[in-house]
Amino acid sequence: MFIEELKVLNFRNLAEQQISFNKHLNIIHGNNGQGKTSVLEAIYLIAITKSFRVATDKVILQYDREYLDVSGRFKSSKDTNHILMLRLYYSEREGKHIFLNGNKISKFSEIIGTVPVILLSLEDLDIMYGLPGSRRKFVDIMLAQVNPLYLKSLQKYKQALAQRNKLLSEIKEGRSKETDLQPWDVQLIEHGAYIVYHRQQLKDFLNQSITQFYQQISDQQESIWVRYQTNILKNLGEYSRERLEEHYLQRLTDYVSNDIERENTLNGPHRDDFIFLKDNHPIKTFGSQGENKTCLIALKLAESAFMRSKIDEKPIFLLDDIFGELDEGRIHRLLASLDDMGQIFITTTLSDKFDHMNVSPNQMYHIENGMVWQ
Amino acid sequence: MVITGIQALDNLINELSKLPGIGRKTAQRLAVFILKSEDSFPLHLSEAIRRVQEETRLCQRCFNIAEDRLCRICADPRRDKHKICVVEDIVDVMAIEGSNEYNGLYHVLGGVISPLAGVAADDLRLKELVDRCNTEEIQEILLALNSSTEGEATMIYISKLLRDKNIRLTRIASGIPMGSNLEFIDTATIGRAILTRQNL
Repeated sequence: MFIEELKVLNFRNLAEQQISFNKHLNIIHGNNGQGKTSVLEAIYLIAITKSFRVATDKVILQYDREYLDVSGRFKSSKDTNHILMLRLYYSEREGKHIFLNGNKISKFSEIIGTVPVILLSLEDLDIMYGLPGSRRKFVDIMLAQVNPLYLKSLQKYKQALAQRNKLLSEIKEGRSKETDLQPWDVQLIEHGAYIVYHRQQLKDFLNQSITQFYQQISDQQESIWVRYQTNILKNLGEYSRERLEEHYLQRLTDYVSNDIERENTLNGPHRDDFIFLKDNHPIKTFGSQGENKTCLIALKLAESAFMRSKIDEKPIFLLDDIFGELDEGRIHRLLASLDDMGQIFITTTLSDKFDHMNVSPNQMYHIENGMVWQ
Repeated sequence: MVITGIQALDNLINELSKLPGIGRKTAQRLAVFILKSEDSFPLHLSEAIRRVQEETRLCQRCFNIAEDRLCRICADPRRDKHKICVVEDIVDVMAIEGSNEYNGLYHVLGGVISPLAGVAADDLRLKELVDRCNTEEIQEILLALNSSTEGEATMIYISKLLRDKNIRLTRIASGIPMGSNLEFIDTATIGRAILTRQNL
């Protein structure tokens, strides 16, 4: 999918305007606070129906305005005759309304995935440096977008886990019996094994391409490996769900007295982590900032490949201000490796970094006071 | 809470807004309706409310709502006394009865297991269910609980409880609702229905 034209009215600090974009590369440059990220946010908003910057819709409305109206004309990258109009209208009084080709959408979840979007911003460095939870979240969002049953399992798992943990406290205080755990264990095992099974498969998919993407940007012969860590299995590589269920059951049984003592379930996919290795060393601690950033970009490129393998549409790539620590060589090679990626948006304060690149003037957009100029 | 300043009316509004699904606005509308209604209506209404508690009780066998020692279903000689359908609440009995597909007896648990809500297995009428399995001639127990995590846990618990009783244990199927179009059903439900497909 690519966006051909974006129309904004009363959105953030953007002026009312209509912007046409290139099918492939779009570089938006300007000083801080001029509205670069808001352009990406507007595209993300109509595709995903939510902002990536804030949780409430109220803030995206321009100060002192009654309503906002953002719409985009999209075309399929496979068939340019296939045109899609998405429009989002919001006012404090009437709430949020979304229209697909002029028809009002009643369930927002129906249009998720219609226009696949991948966002890469500085906050995503949490995937590299943050706690395991941010890596699980990244993986879960990726899997849930292409597999709704995964999302269901994840929700059921969390509910069963909360119930089990409460029960562990009651057992410790002598108000419940250890055998009462069984109904919750059965569900933890069923959904937990399902989650681990799909996370394993995703890990394998990422490992097929991440090194290649990394090398394209770094121009060196390093290898990147994603290691999946789950405490229900010592040795991964064991595949079937039945085997995973057996292992998980064993683990829960072995740890039951520890669990009761700590009033907490110590084993399961809620403790999973993904470790990124560069030449067999964790890149988080051994790699430089630039290397970590390169690894993150390679990971996002692999995510894009994953989405394409599942939904057969090239996603729109939004790169928000990520060129800080990258040298010109890396930027150059990144642009080259993005070549067959579909539509790309890049925001930057450093337009001169692109001076020596193979970028044509009509791919450069300048933004000032919320107004975009070509 | 003072709403209109007229004590009798405010009192009625406050009482009505304790009902499930009734907010303050609706309670006000209902109260004004009662206020303006014919003379006999408030009397009939209050009489009906009084009688519903005074003249009903729980069935001694299945804990459904009853007028006598046994509910209408337990007392009905035409019902199949070899089957028990286990449900969470009285409203579930009404829902299943509405379908006219089930001809056995019921057992109302009075809830589902949920440590977070402070409901343990002992708080449910499980001992009574086991007693019935021992004293009545039961051939099948049909578990008809909601497919929430708590409903699932309760079904697992019951199936373990009754495993060695030589009684057929079944559970209601879940999947595509009757008469609905596949294209309008959420993908998770379709996925689930495909995983639990049946032979033709």
